[in-house]
Amino acid sequence: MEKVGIVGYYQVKSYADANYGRYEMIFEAVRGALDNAGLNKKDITTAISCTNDYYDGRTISNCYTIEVGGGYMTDESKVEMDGAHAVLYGLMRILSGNHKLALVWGGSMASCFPYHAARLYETDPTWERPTAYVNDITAAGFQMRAYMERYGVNATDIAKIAVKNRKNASKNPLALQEAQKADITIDEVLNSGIYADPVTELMVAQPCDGVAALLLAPEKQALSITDNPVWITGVGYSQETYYLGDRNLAESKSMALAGKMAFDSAGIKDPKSQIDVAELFEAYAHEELILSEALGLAEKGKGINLRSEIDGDLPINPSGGAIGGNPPCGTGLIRIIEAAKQLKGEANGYQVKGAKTAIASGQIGMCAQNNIIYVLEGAN
Amino acid sequence: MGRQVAIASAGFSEHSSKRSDVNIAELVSEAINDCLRNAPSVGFEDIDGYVTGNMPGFEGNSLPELWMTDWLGARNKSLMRVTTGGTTGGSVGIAGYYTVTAGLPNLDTV
Repeated sequence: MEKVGIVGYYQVKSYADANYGRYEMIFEAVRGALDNAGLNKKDITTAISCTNDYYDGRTISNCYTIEVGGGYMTDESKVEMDGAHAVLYGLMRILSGNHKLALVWGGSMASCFPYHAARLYETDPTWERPTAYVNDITAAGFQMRAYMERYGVNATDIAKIAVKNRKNASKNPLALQEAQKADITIDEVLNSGIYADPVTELMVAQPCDGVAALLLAPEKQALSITDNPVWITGVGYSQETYYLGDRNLAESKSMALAGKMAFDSAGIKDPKSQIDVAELFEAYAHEELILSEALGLAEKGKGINLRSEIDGDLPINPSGGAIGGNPPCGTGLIRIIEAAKQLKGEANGYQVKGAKTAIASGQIGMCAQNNIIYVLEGAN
Repeated sequence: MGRQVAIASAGFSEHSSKRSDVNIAELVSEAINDCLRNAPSVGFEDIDGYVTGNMPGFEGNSLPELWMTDWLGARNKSLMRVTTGGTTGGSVGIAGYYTVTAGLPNLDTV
């Protein structure tokens, strides 16, 4: 595919209970992205939003976000998945040649709705929802247990991922304050209260308030807007079957397929050696291992041996990842922005030295049923 | 620059004021099967990706493309969903056009 430029971005800081109205937060993100690129609202030719009507508590919720979301009198649409999927639609619109500047924004305010109750509406309405035994939290318990049993990994190993991401989050000023823990220990994670055995509270990417926005432009326009765009050189997305019993939860088939599609289009033959930094949407600590193994960054069951700290061989989630702040519908978009910051050398305090190629992912569904991944390259 | 896109086939579910014999996933699969019947040279294996659209608030399911995966035939395929209220039907057609015209690798039939 032709490369597409990321020419501006903005992330509103994640809060557990933000002192904002929802539309103020969207406006700040969109205005911030435009200011970041030195552009005006009238330069936007298409706007794609990502929210979820169940999270917003109203149907067709994008009716109310047109003005603050930069969609007034533009070719506007809404992708109701993860923010990273909204970037996909923005990317397609740029690649079509019909549009010169695509605005993409996504996010929500989890302080205003019961997140896990809303996610129960994702379950099979006939067989699963009435009992609620299968839900996003219990599914994560099954997934972590399946991974541990399959590969002989213990909970201490998985707690190390939560420790790494919470330490990384403490260096990221936009991360959720409650997630930032510079001196966290493995024992603290293991003893932090059971969510769904063996998943504990500090292994969870807690839903929070936040919105992020991104601007995409074709190559020629991108170079006229900025000397230092970040290029999207590959994208892949895939979805596996829904029923947990039909899936191998110790692996991620959808991420393996998405990764193949993205790496093929970006010309990446050996992801482990060619990628300098990864920002993966891990809804739970163990998912970072499962997703990175699906992408070929480590052998199956050996993800824990990867040196993924900020100064490691292949840093994963130097920003703190989704554990550092998980505003529903914004999290995958934030991963893309964080990867772009790394390539531009703007990740103050958690910068990976010499990062030239990055990947960033988004997901939806129980046990990351649907995954999307981008390959990004720096201009310099 | 975008490539030309053709509509190769279309299909419908059986319409009536109240279909109490099927659930939503089964209703969707009727339309998809009809669409494939109308294009005899195309099978599920030829479909590279899916664009779906519905208003989840109207039907009581959030992210319905997830549990409907196998009724759509979308297992291990690329899928994107748009929602724009009463205009969702038109928006899905437009999103289908963009998905094909964008020329992403191995994404030719959606």
